[in-house]
Amino acid sequence: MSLYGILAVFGEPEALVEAAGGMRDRGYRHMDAFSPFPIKELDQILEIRGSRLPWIVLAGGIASAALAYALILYSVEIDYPINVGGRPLHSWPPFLVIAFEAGILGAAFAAFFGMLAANGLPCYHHPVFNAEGFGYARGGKFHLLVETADPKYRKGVTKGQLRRLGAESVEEIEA
Amino acid sequence: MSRFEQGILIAGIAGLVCCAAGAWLDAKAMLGAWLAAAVFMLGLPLGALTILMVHGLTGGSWGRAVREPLRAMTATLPLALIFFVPVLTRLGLVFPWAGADPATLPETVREKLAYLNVEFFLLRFVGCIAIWLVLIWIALGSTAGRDHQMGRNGKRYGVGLILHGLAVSVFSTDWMLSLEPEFTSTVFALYEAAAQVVAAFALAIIVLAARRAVDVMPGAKEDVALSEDLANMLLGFLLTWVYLAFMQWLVIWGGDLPDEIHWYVVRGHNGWQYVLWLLIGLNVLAFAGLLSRQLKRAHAGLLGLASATLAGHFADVFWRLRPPLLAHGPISLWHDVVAWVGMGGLWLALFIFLYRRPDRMSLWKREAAHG
Repeated sequence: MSLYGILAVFGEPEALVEAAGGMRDRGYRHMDAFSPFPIKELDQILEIRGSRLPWIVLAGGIASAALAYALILYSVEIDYPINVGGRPLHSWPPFLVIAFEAGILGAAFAAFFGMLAANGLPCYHHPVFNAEGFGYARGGKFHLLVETADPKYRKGVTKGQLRRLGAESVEEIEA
Repeated sequence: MSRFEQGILIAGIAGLVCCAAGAWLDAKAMLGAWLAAAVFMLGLPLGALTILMVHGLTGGSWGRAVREPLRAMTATLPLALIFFVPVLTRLGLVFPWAGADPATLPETVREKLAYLNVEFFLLRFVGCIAIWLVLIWIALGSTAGRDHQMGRNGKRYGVGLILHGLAVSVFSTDWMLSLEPEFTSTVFALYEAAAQVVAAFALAIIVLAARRAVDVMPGAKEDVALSEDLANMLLGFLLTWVYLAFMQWLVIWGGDLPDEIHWYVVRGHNGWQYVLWLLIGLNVLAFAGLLSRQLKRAHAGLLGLASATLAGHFADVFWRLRPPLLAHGPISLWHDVVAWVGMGGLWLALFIFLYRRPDRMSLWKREAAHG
C-alpha cells in the first residue's frame, strides 16, 4: 500500500487556519482541510476557487434550448412541413415557449449532474477515511491533510512541521 | 428644501408652463402626451404599494432594506392621481369612445358603450381612487417606524391585494386599453401590474444604491450580499413581466384576428418598431446582466442593471400608450418632452423630499397609532 498523505488533527478552528497558513508559507500547495462547519479563511489559504457551476448551468440551458429549437425547425421545415391555419412554417412565437421550457430542463439537469461531477461524485471511498481519528462520530475535530503529491513533501520533515504548528496528533494515511 | 430638490422642482414647473402653452396650441396632441406620462408616474406609486403589501404578507429581509424608498414612492400617489385631472376635463380628445356620435363608431365599439361611457368611467375612477387612498393609508401606517412587526397585518394586506388587483385591472382597462376600444386583451391588466412592480422596485434599488454601497445597510446578512438579494428579486419581477408580455403577444399572434393583431401592427410600423427594439434590447440587457453574480454584487453594476430595467419600463409604457395618440409625426414629440419634464420634475421633487424626511409622513403614522 502506498502513502496518500499526512493528516494532522487540531482541536480548534483557529489552530487549523493558522497551521494551514503556516504550511502555505512553507511552500505546500497540495493540501486539503476537513471541518464540521465551513471556515471562510481557508478558501484563500487553500486556493479554493469560486464555483464554476453557474457556467455549467448556463451552458446546459442554452445548449438544450438550441437543441429543442433545432429539433422543431427540422420537423416543421424538412421532415413534415404542414400548413397550420396559414401560419408560416417557421412560427417562432410558439417555438420559443418550447425552447425556453427545454432550456429550463437542460439547466436543471446540468446543475444536478454538474454538481455531482464537480464534487467528484459518486465516490465510494476516500483515503482520509482510513485515518484512525477521522469522522464526526469521533469528536468533530479539525483536520489538515498534506498529500504526498506535494513537491515539498518529505515524510519526516512534514510531520515535524505539522507538530510544531500545533497539531494534536499527526497520522499517515494509506491510499 | 435642498438646492437639488428646488432645482428639480423649478425644472418641473418650467415643464408645466410649456405644457400649458402646448395645450393652448394643440390640446389634443398635448393631452395625448400628458396621459402617457401621467400613467408612467402613477405606475411607480402603484407598484410600490403592491410590493409593500406583498412584503407585509411574506416578510423577509429584502423588504426591510427597500422599505423606505417604497414608502416614499407610495406616499406620492395622491400627486400622481392629480396628474389625471387635465385629461378628465377633456376625455373626448383622448378616448375615441367618449363624446363621439355612436353611429360613427365601429360595430364592436358600439357594443362596448354600456361599459365605456363617461359617467360610468368617472364612477369607476373614483372607486379606484378611494381603494388606493385607503390602501396607502393602511400600508404607510403599518410600515412606519424602525421595528414594526411583520405579519400582524396579514388579513388586511390579503384583502387589500385583492381590492388592489381589481382597481389596477379597472384602471388599466379604462385608461390604457380603451385608447383603442376595438382591442381586447384579458392579460393586459396583469401585464401592467407586473410592469409597475418592476419599475417601482428598480427605482427603489437606484435610490438605495445612488449614494452608498448596498451591502452595509440594515437587512444585510453576513454571508449573503444584500445587493444580490435585491437584484434577484428584480430578476424575478422582470421575468413575470416578460412572461405576461410574451403571453399576450403569443395568444394574439396565434389568433391573428384583425381587431387584436392591429394593436401590434400599429406598434410595429412608422418608427414604433425602433421603440420596440429599444425596449426589447434594454430588457434583454437587464436580464442577461442580472444573471451575473459579479455585476449584482458590484455597486456600479447594480445601479446600471436597475437603470436599464427602469429605462426598459419607460420605453414599454411609451410604446404601449403613445402610438394611437400621436397624430402629427415626430415633431409633436416635443409635447412628450415637456410633459415628462413637467410631471417628472414635480413627482421627483416630492419623492426625494419625502424620502429624505420620512417623518413628514407622520400624519399616516399618528392616524394608524390611534386606529
